[in-house]
Amino acid sequence: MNIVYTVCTNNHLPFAYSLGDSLKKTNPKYQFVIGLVDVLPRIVFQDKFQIIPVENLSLPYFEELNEKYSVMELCCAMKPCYATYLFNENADIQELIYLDTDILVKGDLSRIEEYLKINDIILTPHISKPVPLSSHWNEKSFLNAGLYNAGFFALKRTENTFRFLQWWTEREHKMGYYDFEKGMGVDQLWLNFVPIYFEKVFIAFDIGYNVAYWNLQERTLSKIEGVYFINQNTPLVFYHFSGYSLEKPKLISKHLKSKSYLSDNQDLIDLFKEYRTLISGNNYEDFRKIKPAFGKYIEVTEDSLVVSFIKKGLLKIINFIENVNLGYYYYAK
Amino acid sequence: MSKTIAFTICSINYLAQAKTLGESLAIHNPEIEYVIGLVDRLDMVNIDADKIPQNTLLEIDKIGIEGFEEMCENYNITELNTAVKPFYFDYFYENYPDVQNVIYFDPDIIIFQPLTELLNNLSKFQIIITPHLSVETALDNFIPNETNHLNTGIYNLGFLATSRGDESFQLIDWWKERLKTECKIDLKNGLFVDQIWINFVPLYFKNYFIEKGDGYNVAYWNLQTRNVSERKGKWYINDSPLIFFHYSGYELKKTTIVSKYQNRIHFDNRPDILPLFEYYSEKLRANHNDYFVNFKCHYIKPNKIKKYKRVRKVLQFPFIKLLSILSRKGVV
Repeated sequence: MNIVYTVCTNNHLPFAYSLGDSLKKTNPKYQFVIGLVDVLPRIVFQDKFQIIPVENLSLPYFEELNEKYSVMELCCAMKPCYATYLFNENADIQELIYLDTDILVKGDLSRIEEYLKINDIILTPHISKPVPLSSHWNEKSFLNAGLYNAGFFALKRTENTFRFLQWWTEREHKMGYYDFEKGMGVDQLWLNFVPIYFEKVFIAFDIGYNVAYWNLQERTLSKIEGVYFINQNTPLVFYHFSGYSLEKPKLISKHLKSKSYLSDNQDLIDLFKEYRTLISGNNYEDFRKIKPAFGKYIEVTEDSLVVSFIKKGLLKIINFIENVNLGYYYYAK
Repeated sequence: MSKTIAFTICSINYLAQAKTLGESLAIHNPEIEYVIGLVDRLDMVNIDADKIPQNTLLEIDKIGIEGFEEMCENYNITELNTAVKPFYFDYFYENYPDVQNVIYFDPDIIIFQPLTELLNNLSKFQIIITPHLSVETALDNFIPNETNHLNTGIYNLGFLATSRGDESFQLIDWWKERLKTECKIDLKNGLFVDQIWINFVPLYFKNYFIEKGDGYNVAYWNLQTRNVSERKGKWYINDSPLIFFHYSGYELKKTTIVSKYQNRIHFDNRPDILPLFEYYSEKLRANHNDYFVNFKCHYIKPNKIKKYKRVRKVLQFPFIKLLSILSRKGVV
């Protein structure tokens, strides 16, 4: 038996459970484990999946991370720690797959096992083709955020993998901040080094894997006889609802701001609708408001329309004063 | 044997470096044609004819870059000198149909060994790049550490080797397009000149090779894992022959500093590297570094500084204040 795990806080448990449900349905031979970077919720919930609270990891420096990291940074930092823990605690496990909580598995994961026969570490790229500069988002995002998406990785139990996990854990301990200007992008940006530093790293370009807003321009989703396909010919294996929020059901991802509403592809709309139903069915309303116990928690409050209108106006005025041509000095440097 | 062009790009102030690179290449690979791409105008300055390198000088205005004036307007000297790189690649492949390989070296590189292995690899791959780090570097606060490379690029673009083919052409076209407007130093927006764009090569292409050999592109960013030694008149990096050394950030006006871009490597704790730098500084001096270094690049505009900075601040104040009040939590 092999393990698929995810890492999240209580308020994301409905997403984790939906991931677990989808995995059970499509790949029943995997055991699903939730790494909970939180204290166990008081709400009684179905215990159909194994939950490992972060305290079980007995991480000697956890308090340090709790103090300095945001909830998101902390969760990301725990990914490699859980991988090491799961390998250590389950001597019979040879392979480990990590999936972000906001992923939905729709197809057979067995190709990953094929890849892991001759490789130790599997990653997926955000994009595999150039994105025109004129499109509403472009490649620059991934120069900051990282080439490979950390929402998925698969590992085989080898010395090489443990060397990678140790390296990643150390970086997540010291430099796991979300601070692009300083060359840090939580757990993900570090992955840029992985194909260079480590042996037996395989980059899976399979179009059915890790489909998300960042690669929909090269992958078209469609439903054929009830089954989701990418580019008409390849079954969808898993979709990553990165940046999707049930509060804004028409926005494909908050990372894309405007222009990215679910409007033109009915099959995609159906997939998102199916996802919303699953999340709601997993007690979304009960869990979403639980405040995470660890990490710095910043509550997101939305501006009202009027306030955001005034703010935009103010920014325009400030910008105008800054840039209005009152003449220039010239000097040669 | 297939024909190869090696080129560098610089302004007049770096001609001593470019000449030194050319000399080192001529010793080991005389069959490779060497060209200096000059982002400058020789006819706009008084320059001693006897000091100008005898290499082929290809001025930037001769290769016909569409939109070059806008690039000059928007870029500083580093940005401009790096942004034109793919345009030179393009020019060479277009205008020399018999040329099979085009290799770029930064002017502050010199060659120590015949490039036999590299040329052999170019017969198998269309794109060859070198990473800054091929093994992990300890997490510390010295510059550069791994986070600096995550900001500025996994691969060092002081070196890029290509051979004629569909993928190298696709790379050049894509890179040209990006560098027309996006060759900035702007870390918070993911940009670092031409270099960081090359991060995408392993995602977009198949016919590439990442050269991690100890002897390639040796520089301050990898010296912590690469030791220099001399045996029987030949230089070695660990156990491999030194192919080329990149003296990035080294200046004759301050020869006690390994590189102005870093604080990790010093001559005090790395006596093994000193002879390589002494050798280089001699060459630069002989090639008139002190003479060239003061020339200003023709294409770089004087810095524009806005007037009335204080007046602007005062005028902005009430609006900024109001914005900060509105941004406080709890205001609906």
